[in-house]
Amino acid sequence: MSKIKVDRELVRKVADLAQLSLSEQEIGMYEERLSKVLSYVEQLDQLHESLGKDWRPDTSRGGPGARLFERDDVVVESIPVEEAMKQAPARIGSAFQVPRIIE
Amino acid sequence: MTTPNDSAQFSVKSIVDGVRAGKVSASEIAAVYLDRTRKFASRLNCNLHLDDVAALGEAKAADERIKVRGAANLPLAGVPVLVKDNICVKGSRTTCGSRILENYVATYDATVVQRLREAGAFVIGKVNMDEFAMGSSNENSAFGPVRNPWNVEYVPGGSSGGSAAAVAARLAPVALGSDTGGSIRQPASFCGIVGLKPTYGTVSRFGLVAFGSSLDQIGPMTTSVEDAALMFDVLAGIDSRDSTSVKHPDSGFAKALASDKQGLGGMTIGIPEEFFDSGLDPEVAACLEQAISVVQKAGAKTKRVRLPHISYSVAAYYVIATAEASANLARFDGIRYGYRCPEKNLNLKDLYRRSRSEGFGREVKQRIMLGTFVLSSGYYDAFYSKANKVRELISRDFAAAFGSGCDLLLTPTSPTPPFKLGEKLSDPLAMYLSDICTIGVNLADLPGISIPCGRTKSGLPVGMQLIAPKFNEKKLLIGANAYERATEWHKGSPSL
Repeated sequence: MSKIKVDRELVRKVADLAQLSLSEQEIGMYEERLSKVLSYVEQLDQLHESLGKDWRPDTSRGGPGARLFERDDVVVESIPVEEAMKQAPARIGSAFQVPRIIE
Repeated sequence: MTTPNDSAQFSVKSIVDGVRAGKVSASEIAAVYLDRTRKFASRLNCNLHLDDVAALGEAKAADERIKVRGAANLPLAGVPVLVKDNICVKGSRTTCGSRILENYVATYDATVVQRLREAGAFVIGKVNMDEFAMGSSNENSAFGPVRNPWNVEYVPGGSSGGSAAAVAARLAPVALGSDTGGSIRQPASFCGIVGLKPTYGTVSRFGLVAFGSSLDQIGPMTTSVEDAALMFDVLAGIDSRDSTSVKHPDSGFAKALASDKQGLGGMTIGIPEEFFDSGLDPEVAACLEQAISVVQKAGAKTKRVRLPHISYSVAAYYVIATAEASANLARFDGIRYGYRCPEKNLNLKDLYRRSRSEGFGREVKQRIMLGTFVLSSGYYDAFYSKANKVRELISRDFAAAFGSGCDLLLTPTSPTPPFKLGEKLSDPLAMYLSDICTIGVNLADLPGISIPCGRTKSGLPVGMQLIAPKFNEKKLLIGANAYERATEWHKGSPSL
């Protein structure tokens, strides 16, 4: 892996993917901070590991025999609609209100 | 049990004993702690949304339960618990220390809260924290930094800094914390209390606002190991609402401590060399050296062990935890709950972006971006896959150390004593490296405990960490309890 150069363009791109809007000043700040952290994280590149190409984190985690907990397939009560809607910043009846998305 | 006017003398154990003997009620206990909270909490900024009426209501409900069920049947009868503000308590604000959830009121109870109430305990309040549990100094809260009760110029550690400061100041006998990379143990060490991070999966995460789901674990912060055991007895348990929940193969932790005669006698304690290198603060090193000789005098054998991949732990952690956080925090969009940018005429995309950017603080945005980056096209293999391999190798390193005959491992909890407010804020890396001793335990799903083991020349607490194999909390607590009995460090409390 070649050294990653964190510049303003990269910060803009990542902020865009993360659904964040940053001021020019914030972009400069994160350019510096992310650059520091990523240059440290890049040491992972020096790791020589012998797990083999078949090793996968999703199936190996927890060791052999480990599995995720499975719930019984039964209907249980959920939070009442009115209770859940109480926290909505804007609503119309029992629906969350959002800006118009079809012009 | 002393007369109920001085909570500095109270412990979980003494409260349960007092309630069982009919000497005191949950309501009386609550009144004592609320009085102390009014006097001292603002100086430390450790409590959030103080609500005496709600706390007394909770205490009254606990008294009712005690009356109906009988104190003898309730393992935590009358015990007030402070709850970190990322754990849901129905009807109470649960802010995660963030503007984005400033006015969010939880619509359900976390499983741990239900379990505590069932056991006769009650919630006496919520406590401050680093925003979304991201931080090691409690300076990242949108509601201001928490201060260390031993010296208010210093940080209490993080992210469960409010929990640690409040318990150290005896504003409650116990608080719940959450630990993703050391967030229970490091603040416990900075504030001179006991902090237990249980084996991953043994305590339900249902109702804990997710940060790094494969690492997060709730645990108790107390003034003694015995109290931690009493709490863990109640907190541990399988929960169908948490799909990573596991049934603990063991139970009766407090009982095991009470009946234990062996202590550290016959145990072999591994000392991982990597944690005792030149990076360790000299005062912490001196405290640890003394702790090792106490352990030896208590009858344990010590042996040096190696954890060859642990030096990669911080790098791997800041890939895995931020990747998970970037996905978990995508739910905060200003639509269904939480902060929404009030500006009119925004399109949907800009509404998401403005709400998130105005609602999240600096560190949270940084970690979301870091996580987004390491998961992005072209970098996934280089970072995320590599970090997961490191995680596996670190787990194997720990397994090999235990396999070589070690019952427990002993390390510093933090490489430094508490630092001053503001000291590490401008350098994200320096802050991240303060978790270097604790992160490996989360990556390997292990249980770990921090217990007080000394003080610096200026009187600030220093903690040591004991680590056990998965599900071996019993041995962990027995070892920690034996150390505690051989020392006086846990007995001191700060003068406020």
